[in-house]
Amino acid sequence: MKKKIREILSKLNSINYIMGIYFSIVVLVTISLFMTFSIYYTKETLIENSTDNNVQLVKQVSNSIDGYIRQMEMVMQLLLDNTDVNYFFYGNKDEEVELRIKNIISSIMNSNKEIYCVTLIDKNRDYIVNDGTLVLNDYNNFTNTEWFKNAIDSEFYQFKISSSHVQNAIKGDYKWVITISRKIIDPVTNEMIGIIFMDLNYDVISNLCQEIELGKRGYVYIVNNNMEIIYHPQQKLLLSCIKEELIEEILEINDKSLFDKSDGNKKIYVKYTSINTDWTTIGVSYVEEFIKNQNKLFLEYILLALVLLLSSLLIAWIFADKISRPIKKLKKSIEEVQGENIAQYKPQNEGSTEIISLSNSFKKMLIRIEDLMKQIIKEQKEKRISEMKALQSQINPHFLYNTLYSIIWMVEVDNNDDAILMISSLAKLFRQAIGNSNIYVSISQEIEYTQNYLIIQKMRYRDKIDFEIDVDDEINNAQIIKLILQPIVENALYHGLKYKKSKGLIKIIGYRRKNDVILEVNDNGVGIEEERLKNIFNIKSEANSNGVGLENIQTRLKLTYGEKYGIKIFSIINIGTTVIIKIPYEIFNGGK
Amino acid sequence: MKYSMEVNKVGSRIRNIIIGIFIFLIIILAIVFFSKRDFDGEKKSKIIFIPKVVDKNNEFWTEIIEGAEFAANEFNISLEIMGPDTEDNINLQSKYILEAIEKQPDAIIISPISYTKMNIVINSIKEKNIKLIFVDSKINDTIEECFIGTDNFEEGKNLGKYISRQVDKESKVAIISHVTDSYTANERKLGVINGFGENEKYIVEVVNNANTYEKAFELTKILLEKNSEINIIIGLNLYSTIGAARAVDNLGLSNDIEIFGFDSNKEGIRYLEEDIINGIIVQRAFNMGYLGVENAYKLINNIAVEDEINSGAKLIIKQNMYEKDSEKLLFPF
Repeated sequence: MKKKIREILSKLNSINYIMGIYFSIVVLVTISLFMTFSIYYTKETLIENSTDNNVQLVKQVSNSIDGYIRQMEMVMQLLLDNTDVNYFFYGNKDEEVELRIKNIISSIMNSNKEIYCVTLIDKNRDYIVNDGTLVLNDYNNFTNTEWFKNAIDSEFYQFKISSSHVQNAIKGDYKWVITISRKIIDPVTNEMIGIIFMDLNYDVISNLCQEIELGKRGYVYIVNNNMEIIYHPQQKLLLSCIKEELIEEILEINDKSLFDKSDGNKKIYVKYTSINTDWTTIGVSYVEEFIKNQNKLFLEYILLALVLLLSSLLIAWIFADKISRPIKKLKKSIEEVQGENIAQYKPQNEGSTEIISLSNSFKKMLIRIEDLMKQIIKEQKEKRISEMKALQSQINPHFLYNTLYSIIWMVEVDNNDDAILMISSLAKLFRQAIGNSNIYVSISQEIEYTQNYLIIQKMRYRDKIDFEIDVDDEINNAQIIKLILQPIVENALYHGLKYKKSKGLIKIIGYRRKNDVILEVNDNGVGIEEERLKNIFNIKSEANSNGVGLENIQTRLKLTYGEKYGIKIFSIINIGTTVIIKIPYEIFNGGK
Repeated sequence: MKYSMEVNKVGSRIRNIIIGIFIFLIIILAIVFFSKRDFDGEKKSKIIFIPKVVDKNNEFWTEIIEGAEFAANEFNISLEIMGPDTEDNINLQSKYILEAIEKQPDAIIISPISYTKMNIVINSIKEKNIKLIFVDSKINDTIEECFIGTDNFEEGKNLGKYISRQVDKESKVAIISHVTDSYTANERKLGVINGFGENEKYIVEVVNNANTYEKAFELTKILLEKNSEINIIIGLNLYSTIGAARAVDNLGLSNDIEIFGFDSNKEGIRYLEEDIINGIIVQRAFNMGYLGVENAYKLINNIAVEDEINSGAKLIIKQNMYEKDSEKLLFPF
């Protein structure tokens, strides 16, 4: 399980995923913050704005009602200023006066349809109601009513406003009204001489309140100082306690608005108290209407966030891809350069500047590696060459002594011809060995060198050695590295013929076969045992006349010409040994 | 090399497919987002109210309907009212019920005219899984989810007790009832009789089927002709109460006969003032209608409601008729 997690985590480490994840996180955080602020701010702003709006509306209602009431008060004042009215109040009964009064009232009521009823009561409790033509309700005893009693209690010059009630003064008609009353006092005696009542149609107020739109469910209501409801659209329900309404709390607040959630709905209350009437107009609106379908809005925001997130993921992915692809491409071409294809490596021009310069730098590095490799090869070669040179310029001191002694002996016995031959052969030998610093010689030169050696050896070991050299002219100009043939011949002498009792013969044959040069050295000596033959190239230090053993010859041949070439040895005990040298045919061009 | 080239092709194809899928998803979401802006899926509930009578001269039923409409407006419900024009037309009301069922409302509110004869048709409401609420009256089978009404027995008893206090051995009481097997008529009658207690013996007449003002008027007249000693008349609903009062007034017998009853209108108020009627049990009709629709709304939205809700009533007499509470109950705004 842990391993799987690791696997997945390591996969996620790729550029694509890293960029994608970081980018998405940034976008997600940004979107969330934005969303939260938007929703919060939107809601707050909406509520603020609506509340302010409601305050204005409620103020408007209150002012309108005040307007009506003021109007009525002015009308009342008009009546009170009228001499006939005053005459009436003092208890004077005069039909003409009363008629005039009734006319005035009639015209007042015609031009002020909000006025339902005007009642004048004089000190004798005689009264005039409206234009006097209506049949009064005999059973109306308004002197018992609360509003009448309130009016009596009022101060002079003070208009008293009742709360809403039913006016039953007129027979058969029961209307809800608001009554404005004023006590009339004799300025001299300070006695009450009369009261004037004016009833304002309740409709006026309820219409005003219902006209105001506070959203679909919002409403306006009015309460007075005594917390009685003047108007409420749900009065009946409040009365029977089916619903409840905040009254006290609203009147108490100092802020312009109150937030309430008591019946499960979030509501905002705004209020405005009129200075004239001491009535407070209150507006209620339902918060959810401001934030209509808040859930829907929220869902929309979420959808938007999803769209944005997906888009950002897509962009992040494409973006990351654009960066990581050139890198992947670079990685792949680097992998392909496995030593062999340096030349084929083309720096790419796809990707960002950094990637392109990286690619170019890589190419430069490869070139440098190539150069270094070449240099190493060259140095190795040179090292070999100098090694070989060193090897090839050796001459065995023993051979030298023995040959010189042979010469001395020959001179002592006056064998001058042989002495001359031996000296000249030796000289030629020297010349080739020491004087020639080339690695390569021609076949004819190598043959001559070997021949000189053999001449000397034949002279030394009279009747023991004979030799034949048969080399095709064709290969005389072929090239061969120095010091191949003679050591093999030397081997044949000292390992093959030395232990032979009779005269030994060494045959050297040379010919061309296709593109190869073949040299055969054959002796009829004692041969080489199978065991020894197997490991013959592994024996290192065979001290020959110049320390060059078979192993050395084989190595040099293979190093120079390749694995295909070299020497092969065939041998039969007591019959003889043949060494076959194979090298490629190349023209000798003066030495390299 | 060849292998890696093929892998490249496949990789690039996959890449294009993934990009394609992403773009597709984004487009789908964008479409959903923009189309949702117009969607305002507010489904309005549909309720049908079938009162006993739709008569604009009957202030009691008019008030109930007003209360129902008020609630419908508040709860954003589509409310339809259908009802017969006389309170005894069982057949017509049944027909309306069947019509209502056809319309497949979410709830039906009904004031069944007959307590016993409408069971089958009312049951068919339940069969269609329509919520059923009774207002004012019910039937003799408890199949409704909710009943809203006055506690008729109790109010009858209150009235009976009140009257009983002023009853003496000279009293002769007549009860004028409406539709014979109406739930309200029976309950109230039983209540009144119960309220009388021992004085029950003074109840001498019971008149039935005073189902309109005119019928009540006639029946009262006939009653008084038949038995001129009657000095207390009790009406059990608006028609019977007002009809009886009219008759008494018409015959000029208002000084000799006391009238009590149920429900009021403008005429009744005048009679109250003029001492023709001496006391009325005024039901909170507006509340009844309002509560009917409110509880229907709750039922539709799977909110628990009470089985029976008492919408309340008050005994109004001349002395208290102008008190704040009485005023608001008696006089419509």
